[in-house]
Amino acid sequence: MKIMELIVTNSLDELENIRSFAHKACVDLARMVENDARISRVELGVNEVAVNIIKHANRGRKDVSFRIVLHVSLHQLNVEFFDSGNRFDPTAVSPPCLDGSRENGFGIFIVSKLFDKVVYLQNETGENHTILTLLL
Amino acid sequence: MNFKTMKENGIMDIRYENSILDASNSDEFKNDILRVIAENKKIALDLSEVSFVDSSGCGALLFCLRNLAAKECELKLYGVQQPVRLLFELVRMHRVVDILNTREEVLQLF
Repeated sequence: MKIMELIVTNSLDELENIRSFAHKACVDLARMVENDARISRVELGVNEVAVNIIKHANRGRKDVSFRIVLHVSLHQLNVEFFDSGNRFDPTAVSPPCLDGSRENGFGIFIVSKLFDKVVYLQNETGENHTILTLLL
Repeated sequence: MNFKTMKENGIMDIRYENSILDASNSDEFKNDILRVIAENKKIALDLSEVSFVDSSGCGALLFCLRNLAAKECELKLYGVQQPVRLLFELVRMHRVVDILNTREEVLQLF
């Protein structure tokens, strides 16, 4: 299994860095070619989860960081996020309004559409663990 | 400000000169575009330089759309790159705003 890891400061200024990490991992680990549409999917999904961690789990605090691990096996690409912020309850999220009447609330919906499997866990130490899986 | 504007035949053509519209700059986009679109009834927003938009960026575009609709103004988008189209299709942006390929198509539709 091939693995890449990134630890970032909890800041929206890191989003470009996070997307670059996801892009590089898709190319270097999953051997996707540059114009492969799956790279855009991974970049967007990783960005959305990172924004949720930065804004909601960690409430914009810039004195904390979180960790992203991307690993690739023969048949799947997994992106794992580890943060120590507030717990996220996916069942409490309302379905998005897609009629233009609301400007937010799309993030979780988008992630669910981009990846084959999305899992939210909390481990024994209280750390949040989000796992995105894309079948290759 | 990341906008370049040109007004022709009553249509304000706005090019967003940034490759990214995401959670890190969507508030700035909303503040700036309100000043740019003021007093204009027909707006064509050129996104050809934008290679990445996330849900916050999408929200900023919807903010712009709602603001214009409240003033009975029209917004049309064009020059949308493929990765951005992926997001627009997911959130069904085409149902709430006209998304065209070229400036010429926008001019014909206005």
